[in-house]
Amino acid sequence: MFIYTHVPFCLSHCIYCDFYVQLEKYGGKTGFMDSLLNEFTQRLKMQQVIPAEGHHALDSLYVGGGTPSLLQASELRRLIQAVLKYTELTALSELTLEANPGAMKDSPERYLDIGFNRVSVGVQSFNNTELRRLSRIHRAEDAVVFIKNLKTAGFENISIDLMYGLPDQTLDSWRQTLEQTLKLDVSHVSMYGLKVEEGTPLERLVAMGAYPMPNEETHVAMYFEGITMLKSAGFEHYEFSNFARSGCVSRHNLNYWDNGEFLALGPSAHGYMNEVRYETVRDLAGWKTNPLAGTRHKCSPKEQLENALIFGLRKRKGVHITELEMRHQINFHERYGHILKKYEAENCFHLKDGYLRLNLSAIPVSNALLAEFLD
Amino acid sequence: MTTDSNIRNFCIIAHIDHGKSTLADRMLEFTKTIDKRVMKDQFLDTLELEQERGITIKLQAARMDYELNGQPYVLNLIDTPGHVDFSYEVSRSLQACEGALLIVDAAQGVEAQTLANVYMAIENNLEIIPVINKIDLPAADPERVKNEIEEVIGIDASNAILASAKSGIGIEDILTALVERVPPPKIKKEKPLRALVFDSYFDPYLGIIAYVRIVDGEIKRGEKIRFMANKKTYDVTELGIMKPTRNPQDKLVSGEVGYIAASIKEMGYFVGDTITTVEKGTLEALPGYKKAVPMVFCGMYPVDNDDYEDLKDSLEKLKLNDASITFEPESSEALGHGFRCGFLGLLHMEIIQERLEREYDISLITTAPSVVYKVHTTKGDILFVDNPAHLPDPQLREYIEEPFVKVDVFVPKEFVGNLMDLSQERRGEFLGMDYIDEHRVNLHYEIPLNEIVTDYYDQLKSRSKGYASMDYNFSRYKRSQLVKLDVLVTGEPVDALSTIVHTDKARAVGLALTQKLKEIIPRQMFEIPIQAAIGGKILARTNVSAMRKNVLDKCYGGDISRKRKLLEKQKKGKKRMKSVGRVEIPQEAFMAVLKLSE
Repeated sequence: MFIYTHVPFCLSHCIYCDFYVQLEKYGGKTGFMDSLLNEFTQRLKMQQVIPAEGHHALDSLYVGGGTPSLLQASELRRLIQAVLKYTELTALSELTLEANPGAMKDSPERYLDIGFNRVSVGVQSFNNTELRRLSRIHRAEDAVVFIKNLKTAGFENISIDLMYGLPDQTLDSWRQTLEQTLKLDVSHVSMYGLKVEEGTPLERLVAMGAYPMPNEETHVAMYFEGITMLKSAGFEHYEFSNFARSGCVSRHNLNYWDNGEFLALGPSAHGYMNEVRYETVRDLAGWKTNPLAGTRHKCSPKEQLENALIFGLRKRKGVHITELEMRHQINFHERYGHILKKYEAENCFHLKDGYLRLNLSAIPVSNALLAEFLD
Repeated sequence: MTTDSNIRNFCIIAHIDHGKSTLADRMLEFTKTIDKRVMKDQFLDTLELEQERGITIKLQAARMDYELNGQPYVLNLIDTPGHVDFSYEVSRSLQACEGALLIVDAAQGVEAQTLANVYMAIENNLEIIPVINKIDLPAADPERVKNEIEEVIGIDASNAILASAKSGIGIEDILTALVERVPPPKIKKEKPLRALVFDSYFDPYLGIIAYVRIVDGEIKRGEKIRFMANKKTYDVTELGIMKPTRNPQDKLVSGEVGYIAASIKEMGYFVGDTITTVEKGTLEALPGYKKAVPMVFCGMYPVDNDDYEDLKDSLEKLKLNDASITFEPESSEALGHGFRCGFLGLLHMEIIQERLEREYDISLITTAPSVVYKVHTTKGDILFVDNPAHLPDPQLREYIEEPFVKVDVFVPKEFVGNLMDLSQERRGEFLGMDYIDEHRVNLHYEIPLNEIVTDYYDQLKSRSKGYASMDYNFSRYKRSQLVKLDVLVTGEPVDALSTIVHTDKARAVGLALTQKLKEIIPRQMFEIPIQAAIGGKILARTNVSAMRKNVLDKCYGGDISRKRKLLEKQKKGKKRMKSVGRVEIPQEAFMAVLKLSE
């Protein structure tokens, strides 16, 4: 079983972020865990995901945000205990806490003690100018110390989030960030190209010309530079933006791209259960009052097939054709052969060992390719 | 009870935006023909599109009861379209009337199109009642407009009615004037039936419904009737009056205006035809009607080839409502199977295109409009070519003639220079100019129709800040130095992008067109060369560079629905494009030649 919880609290609002976030100083944390646990039990009942007798293995519990490390370990312990009431820990269970440097309430040991075995750190960049431009509250040095402390505390599985294509970023400064990342010797790296989201302050700054953005060529070059450096350091490139040391592929994230189901909790959380994609209310007070409210969309068999393809092809391994055909009762080549053919000259797709995957060079333009699979 | 002398049949002549529809609404309200509560603004403009554009395209009729000095009267309003493309339709409704309200905007004065329609009304011996509308506008100058009506049109405006349809001023004066000044129809009940069809539309239950003016005799439900030009007979299943929705009656008699349904399901050019009875009918059809002649042609192709039959059905349905449309199957190497469609003008074309997309839900590619060229071949034949792709090779042509139109432009004098420049650029020949009053000028030009359908009207509006108006009429075919300009995408000519241009302009058009296409065609996985050529000679060349970045980097559980939507949007965009070879070309690319001045 896969569980995601959204913890919306942050110390400050980053200018590029369009997630649902509540500033910690405005309160709201009081009673948050009660509401979360309330939603959990209600949702289990409603979804009937847990049979009354017997336990499910806990595949993953991912506490994301926001900045969930702003919650005290004692609070998070209640969540883990509640989850383990219905599920069973195994050697493979992945319990991830998202954390930001300078925004952790308790010492790292405390979080390890209560059961987290993985921390995903929002580093974004090791260049202070870039961090300031993104309105991050931490500095590069803070992140270095933060990660060292996590390791000292005993966390073996640490992931670093990086961003490229930042205002004023150069290929050189990006290389320096990657070098610093490698020095810290973590087990997992995610790197994301900055996307200017609608309605964010960043959008206005870019529109005003205040934030010079790298051009598309540089953006793409940064992406490939990241791949080259991480791969030569021994990381496996297992999804468009994700890299892992051997044995440290994120099970939780992989489940998304495998189009697997997962329970989601918290305000503005997106879940997928019993073929229904749902989103809870994007408002803390509203969610507290009615945690089961929000939007629901039942995925048709066709949508499930399409999702399996458009998300599955994000994996470097690709999509196993025979498995897809069996699961969705289709003939792949009959249905999609024309798409492969259309892009033959550009060498976008690659069929090998029963897997269909995108070639590396096609990733930067993958939307155009993936959109082809939608009907 | 209707008596011989209490009917008044009238129409309204007005320029777009001068307030015709609003005035009609007020009259319907005032006479309680429709309930104010259920009144949707501008009742007569029933098509959604018409309401959006604020113009009336199709004629509709409405019967109003009105009492004056204790006497009951029947006022039949026959609505007319107010745009330059529809002068033929106007002529049909004028013929069904004895009087016309001439609406002139109190601030803007007489416009070119108004003038053309008034002259048509005068030719038809209609009693014309000038109404100066929008008198409550700050810029209103009724005295100046009165003078203009007298000087420009040459009719007496001393008893013009001052009105504001919007505020309900003058409505009663107008109704009274209609009774007092419009002559009653000449009633000839005893004669054999002659009913004039001035419009028709298709009702899915009743079949084609003909709007008629009963000129002679009478018509009853159940009677066998004959359309004299179409030589077809039908049984009348329903007839009645419009109030303004259908209101069935037992009969319609000489002088009246109403509708006739006769289970007519097949297509035919009924508009303009004369209806008579099969038994004891007349042999003499009513004169004066002519078939509408399409002036502008374009190719219409379904984006999805599977929609071909749907497009055909939809065009047939539209033709039932609008007999002036013509269409014939044609095929294009680039676009597959579609139709060559003929329209009265550019607006007419745009309206039909929008209706097909909106009401019939067909995604369309429309090629740039073309006129009909007269090609004299070396063999001595004359070919009429309405599709640039079909122009014979230069060695097979002796010369080409193209249609010219006489254009009347009304323009405030400060913009005269701009519009003379424009007309010159569009190969116009200056014929003369008159002063309408001390502020406004009437420019006369002869201009190739091809230039008019390209973007003359848009430019006229933009270069006169919207103040100029125009009207045009076919004048003659004239020999011109014309060539076919081809567009090559990834080295292959795309027939649907070919256009016929004057030799002197070929290079400039080629450059502008390739640049425009570069803007319109989105970047794809590969580089796309775009060239303009005459014969084998390349005049201009540019490239759409290959797509570099189009990716969703971050994609987590929370994002999945959102990301899917984003991809769906991209897919939808693709669906509206036509694959020509491997290149996806958006619909607007095929109209790019119209947008070169932007």
